[in-house]
Amino acid sequence: MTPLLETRNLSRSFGGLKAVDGVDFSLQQGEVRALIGPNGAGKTTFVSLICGRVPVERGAVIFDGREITRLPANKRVRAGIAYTFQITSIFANLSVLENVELAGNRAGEGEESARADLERIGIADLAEQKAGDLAYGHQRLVEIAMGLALKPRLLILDEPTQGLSVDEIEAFIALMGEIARETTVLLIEHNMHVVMELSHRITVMERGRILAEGTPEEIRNDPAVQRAYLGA
Amino acid sequence: MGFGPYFLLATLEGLVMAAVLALTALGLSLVFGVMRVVNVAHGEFYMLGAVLAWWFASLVSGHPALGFLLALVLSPLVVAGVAFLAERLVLQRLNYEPEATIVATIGLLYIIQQLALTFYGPEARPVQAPFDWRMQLPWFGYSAYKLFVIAASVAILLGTWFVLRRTNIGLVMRATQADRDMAQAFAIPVSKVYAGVFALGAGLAALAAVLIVPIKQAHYLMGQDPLLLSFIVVIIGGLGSLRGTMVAALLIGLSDGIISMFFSPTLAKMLATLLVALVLVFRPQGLFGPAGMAAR
Amino acid sequence: MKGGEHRAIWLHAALVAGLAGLHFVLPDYHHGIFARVMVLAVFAMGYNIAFGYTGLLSLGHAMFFAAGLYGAALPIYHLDWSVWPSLGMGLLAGLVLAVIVGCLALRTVGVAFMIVTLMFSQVFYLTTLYFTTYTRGEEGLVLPQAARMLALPGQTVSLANADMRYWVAFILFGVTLAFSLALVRSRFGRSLVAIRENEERMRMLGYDVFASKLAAMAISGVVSAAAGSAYAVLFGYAGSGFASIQYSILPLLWVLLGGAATVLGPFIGTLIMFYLIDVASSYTTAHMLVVGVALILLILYFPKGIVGTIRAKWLRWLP
Repeated sequence: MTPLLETRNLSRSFGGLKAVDGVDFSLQQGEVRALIGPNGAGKTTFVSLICGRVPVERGAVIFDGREITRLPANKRVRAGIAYTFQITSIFANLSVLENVELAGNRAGEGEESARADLERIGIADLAEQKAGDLAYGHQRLVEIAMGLALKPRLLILDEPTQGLSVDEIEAFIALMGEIARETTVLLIEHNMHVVMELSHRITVMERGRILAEGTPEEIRNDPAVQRAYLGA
Repeated sequence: MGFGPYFLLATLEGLVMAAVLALTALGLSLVFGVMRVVNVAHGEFYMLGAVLAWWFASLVSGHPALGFLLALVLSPLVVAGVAFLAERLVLQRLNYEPEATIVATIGLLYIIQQLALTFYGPEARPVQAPFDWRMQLPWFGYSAYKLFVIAASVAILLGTWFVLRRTNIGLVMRATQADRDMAQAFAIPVSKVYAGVFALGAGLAALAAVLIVPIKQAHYLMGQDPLLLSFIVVIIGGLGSLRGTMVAALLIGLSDGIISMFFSPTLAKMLATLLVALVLVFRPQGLFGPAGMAAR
Repeated sequence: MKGGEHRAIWLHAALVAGLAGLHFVLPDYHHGIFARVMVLAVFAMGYNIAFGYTGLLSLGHAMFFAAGLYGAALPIYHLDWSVWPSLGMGLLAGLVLAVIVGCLALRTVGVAFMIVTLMFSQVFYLTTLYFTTYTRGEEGLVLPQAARMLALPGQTVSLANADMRYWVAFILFGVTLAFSLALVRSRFGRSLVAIRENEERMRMLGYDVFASKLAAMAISGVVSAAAGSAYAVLFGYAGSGFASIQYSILPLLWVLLGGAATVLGPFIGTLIMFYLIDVASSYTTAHMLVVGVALILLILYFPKGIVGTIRAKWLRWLP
């Protein structure tokens, strides 16, 4: 079966530093893949190469059978890739509803659809509030709502639970369970509990390369991963 | 005069222009380099220097060199003082936010220019050169004062280079330019450095104007051309690059002088402005700046 | 905010009605000023689309105004064209220039964008000086009254007539005001505001940010050019002064004073500033000092402008 997303020998350096070094990666439709690794492993750069925030230096990105390596970021979003930022990047001066509407407009959706998206995430009662006034956890949820409103084929989440309370994280896991039924998800995470609960497969990155790939069980027992990351 | 000597004359005139331009542009470059502020009023500091030079010189009768000397010392100091005030009262309060700062310096431009119009008037007035000697070259006589201007400019540039590269003050300035937050972490009083640099930039422009005013006259609109030319120099030379500024000043000063002698000055300005705009669009680091040092 | 939408329309309609009413009561001198202010307010509204709504701080909008000005004046003066096609020419000139400049300048952001637009505008200004045989440079072209006849269905009216001038300026103003209101509330208008807020996010939401900004520049340029063309035929004069830096700074000042990113702000700012300078110039030749002081005070203490502050503090529904 053709993978939904594939990268071949994907590489990117900054100055002398090889942030992403010849990564071959593939993701099947319907998967929930977690991308883990120590800080500086190149995870955010890797997903940025996929969604187009950072231009590719060498290698290829193939989405749904189509090569998108040179495609500008906004066209990749139109093709079905959505990215939520590591550091929350919403429109602070607009209302929550307006934020989600902006995202939904791209998928041809209007106000009702935006309200429905907010309903799903559980923040429908915050619709009229100014997004910048919300608590951090809620702002993260607005980010995710915006990602969903794009009706993406692939949803890339960059450290979505960072800064969330324990309760909020549990709610997030439940939410993700639902979303994963219709959308392929690639998520960068440091929270191992979330990773183990949600992912079908895990990719471990270190120093710009893939260290290991496998099911949560396999990764948990992999000695190389234990040494590099989980702290044996 | 044959073509050769005419060209030499044009070159000398170009060198004088380049000398003054280098000083003026250096002021602009320092302010942008260290503070990331584009000072649109820079030309007005230049004009103020010239106008004040006329005033100081008019206070002293007797040998013109006395009046000139007084102007040379006091005018840059006063202009630096004005700049210091403007920085403290306005720029600092805006937290050096790039767009707000430019709007504020535009306001400053109008204020200085119109005050000059009010108190100095719309006339152009000359200042006498400190000495009247001429150097006799085989083909023509050339004003020794103009040669002095070139020499003085080179001296000041070298002095500035020395201060920047070899003294503590210069080190502090370069540190603040490189990384403002780190500089603060190292207990460098960034705020004071900014005020000082802004004053220094204005002072350099004023100094350049004092040097040029015996050659051109002092007029309340004389800041416009130097502003545009300094912009061109700083952008082409690469913002924050001292060497780039010098080389660009030389290039532009010479070519402007030469082109103006042979072609229409309007056309020269048109082409220069267009060139600079395109450089900013396609090669924002200028011709000498390192890639990434764009005018952000 | 449905209630707000209705209130907004009524408010703007009231302004328009008020201006219509003023035609009958204003003494001659002020009548002429209002005609001029309405045309310049159109320029300000055009600038506001780029600066206020999209966040593009251009320092070169004089070139668009002047493109409209000369685009209309030159055919009338040299080619004996009538008014309507000349107005069309002015608009076309503004559009073409805005697209070309936009394609180049929009490759830069922030301070670089300001400088690039400033420089392109300077080139335009110098061009009007260089081709002085056609433009008569600073002295300018005076369009004879006989050439400023507007052909309407049924009759031809003279634009040298003060009444006609007011009405033409009024109609242009009213149309532009309605257009601004519609633009601001459209999806496109809201996407421009979002781009100003957070460009990267918009890109990552699938919006073609460059195309949107270019469209904003084009609309802004055409509206500014419309003001320029109207100015040429209504007041019968086109000179290089209108292409100079001053006419890039003035719309910025008008919009800042009135309130950037508001629909009524540009008009309010233009009106107040015009009178301020008018009064100042009766006292001193250095009346542009007012501009300098106003800019600094505004940017330091009052960056939202009049209508902007009213909106933030009391009337949230103001567009």
